[in-house]
Amino acid sequence: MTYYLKYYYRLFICLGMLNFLLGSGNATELRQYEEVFIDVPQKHKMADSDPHAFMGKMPQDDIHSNLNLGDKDLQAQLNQSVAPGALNWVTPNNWLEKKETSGMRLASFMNKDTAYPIETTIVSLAGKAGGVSANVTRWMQQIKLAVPSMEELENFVNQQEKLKTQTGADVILIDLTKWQKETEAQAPSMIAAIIEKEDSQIFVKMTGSRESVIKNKDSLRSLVLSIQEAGSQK
Amino acid sequence: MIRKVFSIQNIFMLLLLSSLIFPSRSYAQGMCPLDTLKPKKVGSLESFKRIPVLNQGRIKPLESYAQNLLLLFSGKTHYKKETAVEWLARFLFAPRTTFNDKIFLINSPEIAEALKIEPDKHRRYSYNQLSPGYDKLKELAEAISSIDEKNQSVVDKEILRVYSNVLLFLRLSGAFTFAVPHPDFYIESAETRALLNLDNDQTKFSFYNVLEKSEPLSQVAKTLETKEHLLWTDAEKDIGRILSALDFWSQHYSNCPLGLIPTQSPENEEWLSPMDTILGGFFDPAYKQEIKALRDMAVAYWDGSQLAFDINARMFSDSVSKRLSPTEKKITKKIPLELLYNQFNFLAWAKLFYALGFFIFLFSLTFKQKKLYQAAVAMTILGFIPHALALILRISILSRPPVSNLFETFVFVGLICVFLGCILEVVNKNWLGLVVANTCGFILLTIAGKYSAEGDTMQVLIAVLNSNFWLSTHVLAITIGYAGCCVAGIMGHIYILQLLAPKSDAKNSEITYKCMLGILGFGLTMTFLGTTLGGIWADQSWGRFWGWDPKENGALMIVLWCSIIFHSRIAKIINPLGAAVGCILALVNVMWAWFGVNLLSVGLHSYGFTSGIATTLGAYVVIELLFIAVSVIWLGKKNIKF
Amino acid sequence: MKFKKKISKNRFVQFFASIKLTVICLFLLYILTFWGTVAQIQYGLYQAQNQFFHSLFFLVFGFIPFPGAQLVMWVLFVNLICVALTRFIYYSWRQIGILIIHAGLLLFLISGYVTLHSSHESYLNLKEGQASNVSAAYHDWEIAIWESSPQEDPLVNKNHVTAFDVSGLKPDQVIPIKHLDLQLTVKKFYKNCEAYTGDQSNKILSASGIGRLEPTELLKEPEKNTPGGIFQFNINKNKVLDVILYGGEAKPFSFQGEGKTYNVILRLKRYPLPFTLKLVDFKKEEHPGTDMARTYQSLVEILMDHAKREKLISMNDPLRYTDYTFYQSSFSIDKMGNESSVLAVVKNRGRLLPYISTFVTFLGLVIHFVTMAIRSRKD
Repeated sequence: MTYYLKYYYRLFICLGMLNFLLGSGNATELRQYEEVFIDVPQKHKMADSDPHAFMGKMPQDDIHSNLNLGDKDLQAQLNQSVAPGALNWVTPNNWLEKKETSGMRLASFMNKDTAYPIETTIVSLAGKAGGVSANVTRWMQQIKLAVPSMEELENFVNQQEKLKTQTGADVILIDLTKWQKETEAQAPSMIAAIIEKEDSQIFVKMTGSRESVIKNKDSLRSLVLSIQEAGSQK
Repeated sequence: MIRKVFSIQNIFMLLLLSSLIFPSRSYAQGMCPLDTLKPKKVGSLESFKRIPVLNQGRIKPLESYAQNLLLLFSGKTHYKKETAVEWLARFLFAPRTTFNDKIFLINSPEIAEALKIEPDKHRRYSYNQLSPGYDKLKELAEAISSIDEKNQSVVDKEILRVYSNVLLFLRLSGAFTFAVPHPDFYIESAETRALLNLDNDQTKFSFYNVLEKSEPLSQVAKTLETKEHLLWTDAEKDIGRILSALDFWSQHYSNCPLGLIPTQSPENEEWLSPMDTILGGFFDPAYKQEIKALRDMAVAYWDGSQLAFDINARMFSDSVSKRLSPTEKKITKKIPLELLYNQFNFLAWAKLFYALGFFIFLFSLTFKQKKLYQAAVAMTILGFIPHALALILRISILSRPPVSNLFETFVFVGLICVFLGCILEVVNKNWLGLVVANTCGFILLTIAGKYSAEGDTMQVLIAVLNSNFWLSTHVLAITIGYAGCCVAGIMGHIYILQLLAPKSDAKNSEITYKCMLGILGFGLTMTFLGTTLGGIWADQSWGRFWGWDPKENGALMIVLWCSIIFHSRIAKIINPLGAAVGCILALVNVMWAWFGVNLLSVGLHSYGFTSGIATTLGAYVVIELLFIAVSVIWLGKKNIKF
Repeated sequence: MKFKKKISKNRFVQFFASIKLTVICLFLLYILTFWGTVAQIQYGLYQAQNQFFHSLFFLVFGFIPFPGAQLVMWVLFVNLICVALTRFIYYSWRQIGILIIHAGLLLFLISGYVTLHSSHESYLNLKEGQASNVSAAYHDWEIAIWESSPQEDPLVNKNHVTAFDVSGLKPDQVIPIKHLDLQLTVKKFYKNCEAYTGDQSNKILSASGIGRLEPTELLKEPEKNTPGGIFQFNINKNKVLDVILYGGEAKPFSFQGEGKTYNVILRLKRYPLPFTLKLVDFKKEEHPGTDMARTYQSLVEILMDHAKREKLISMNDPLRYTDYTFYQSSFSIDKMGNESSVLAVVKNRGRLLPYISTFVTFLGLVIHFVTMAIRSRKD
């Protein structure tokens, strides 16, 4: 029996060597080819002249955009996020509220000023949506910023503007334009607010080019401060 | 989704106002005097059951819809002594009379306990029993739906099923409420009735009655718009109340999943419920006529007036079918066939005759009489005819080969097995083929029956399967191959039993052995063809001939196993007994490839998900292995080598 | 006859012509098929395929070697040939079926070999209106370098790309690219890693501000691994740059050399197609009143040098062009309503071989069982 086993093993060792010899033969080979790519001008539902149309290029809150990447935790978190009590807000003067059909978003806005287009969304998630730094990291990835080290990130978060809404909820205003150079006026950028509630978090995210979001920061702040739960007015 | 344009929207401009005066209250929730009433019903639902309805992507008669719905709720196709369609009529026209019907099947007593319901020994509960626990059910279902489907337990899935059934029940129960009087629309004041041109002899009106008077209603609404509400007269306040109720109803009962009325736009293939049609465009004359017919049907049902009911049902069907597109018309023409299929339970008859045939065989073991043989032949033929008829009807109803879901494959393989058995009988005339035909037919139809309890067996197909050419080549070939291997497996059993029998007849078992190998060869050929044709289909639609997908592997295993049997026979590794055991194992293999693979729920082919079958399959394999072990040892003592 | 006798005496042939060997091989293949099926639950299709089916052998529990399906099929192949040489050589009409069956099976084994070595799968993801002449691999990566050239039309990008595979890269490996007067040295390379910003002081450049890479373990789904590495570029033998390339970057890294601008990017390997393919329209239909898809279709345009034609690709109806086949594989619709379609691209030289083998083997089976049936009737 052991005699046969010995042969059995020898056979495989030989095969292994053969495999190794055959496998290690190919050196790095250069290939050359012509690449042709024909793009299309952005198509959109809005009029071509409306610069908001280009918002499609901007990373939105997407809730959905990151989901397919297999982020299981986020998925679970989103699924648990049964829409909590309705919210009230005051739409800033220079903004328009859009009809929102997707179930996740409570509202979305765009500004009237077509020279500096931005889009803002309000999303509410039940529970703690993974802490401030985790969200900031995710957003930075969405606008293609390299993610800094943990320390730098914490410093950054600590430096951000802290506010309180009318009903006394804590708000942190995350201004990601700080990470971009002044010269990158057209780079996609984002300013976002996280409102901490007892059992949920509300995200208000404004996306657009760097200069546009900077221009609209005050409107965003006023929107955030005006948010309150429906019925809590009296 | 279509966009609903509320054509009587201007009336509702006022609602903002009126809702200030009449603090929102749950309309339609209040007790209706009709709750305690019973409809007189109509005696015959012949005209009702052939009304076409679009459900799960397919146009079908209301009768099929009723059966599937009741099957979905309760796992049965009838409720007590009522047929499905009788129950459906009662449910649609007088929903409250069904709230105490025990129709919700909850398999797990744990769930009943969680909902604080007394567990029922028949595991079926009524809506009234469930409704106190509805919030709990909703809470549980929402929590579960966030879990990945793979991690849901059997109980979790059952909760989701029950919850979706209750939701469906609630949605459907409102489908015809527009037709019957309701306190929300009772108008006591004669002045208001006069204002709205309503019949002055009665006070009880329905949503529909009021809606018909939308013209005077909107006129009043217009005057109210400019009038300070403190100055409103009592009649005007009454109308404000009615307007508000109209609005509430139109929201509350919209999105009802009962596709009765096709839309007018040719691009939109969806069919809508009466309430959604009213919201979408009540003033379209065709819609209006159809909704009126439905209303009159409901009224006739309550009044027990058969004639009015039939006339309106026919009028409705005619009006709908006139508006259908040519392809849809083609489908509705097949409704009589489907009714025929529903009316005669062909497969149950076939099963009965096969069972009788098998019992006659058992009899013949003790009483050897020629008449018994003739009777068994007759039973097999009597079983075969309805069996084949059922399949032919299905082919003509669905216009596709009868192999598109597990239920159909079992029925089809059953038929092929019976056919193979009949051929064997013609060749040998020694009971062998009859026994094979009757056992296979009975067993496979029984399994098919289990699958038919999962709902509609005539579903539409997902995109990748939606190809008649490949369904009729690859799937037919492979299922015929399965049939061959099944018959060979059954014959393996018979061969071993013949050897085990106290007075074994060597000549008889020799014939069995030869036939078994022949049939196994047939099975191998067809399975091989089916497998490779499957490869070609995969190459055509996914770009690779072979991808080691579980289903492909299952079929390959059958091919390999059959060739192992043939080669070991030539290599003299096994004797006839070994070949018979091999055939039995080939049968186990077929079961694995057929539906065992689906239990893995991986891969491209896992379309026919089958839950809870794992244990049955496991038990079957254990029993088969025990049978083999015992008989091989026993026969070893008799000096018959493996 | 002499040849046959001679060959039958050869010990090698004798060993491989045994039917017992056939049975053993078939049984091993049977076990592998079953095992490989069940293993898919745990390992996923790709890994199970590699371990059980594409391998010559693998180790069970890390030390017991077990033959893989490829080895078994090689043995079966030799077995079949030896049997053909010794047994089938004096065939008779009675055996014609058997002969045809085995000829078909031989062809099957050959077509399996051809497919394994000459086919590759890739995909093409296009928005409506976009066109491209290269398809991307699912999980093989390349480093691509091209010189920026003035583009007449901002929407039309045409580049002459030089690329090499990264799968075999080792640290300190030097890759000269003579026609661009470039030399590339691999400093670090990870098959799966994550990118971070870090101290910018070490003068490593990156197109998207990455400062350092952290290697992570290889995942079992190969398409989830993102490679990255640090490369030293020696430009015109006088300029040296250290660059981080990471698979997750969207933009190429650009650098100057002798008045030219070069772009380099680490991306999924591209396969040139024989023509440029344009997605004209994508359509999805559902069964009415359900979420179940009835059909997906992509209307594409094949742009050749001087001519173009249209073709509708749908489920079960792919576009075939020489060795290439384009299948409807997937789709996506973004928020703006832009529809894009994913076409799977398969290049397979031996595509028709299994078709032929199927036909031959089935014919053989039918002939064999019919002759058997007739003979048994005569007996």
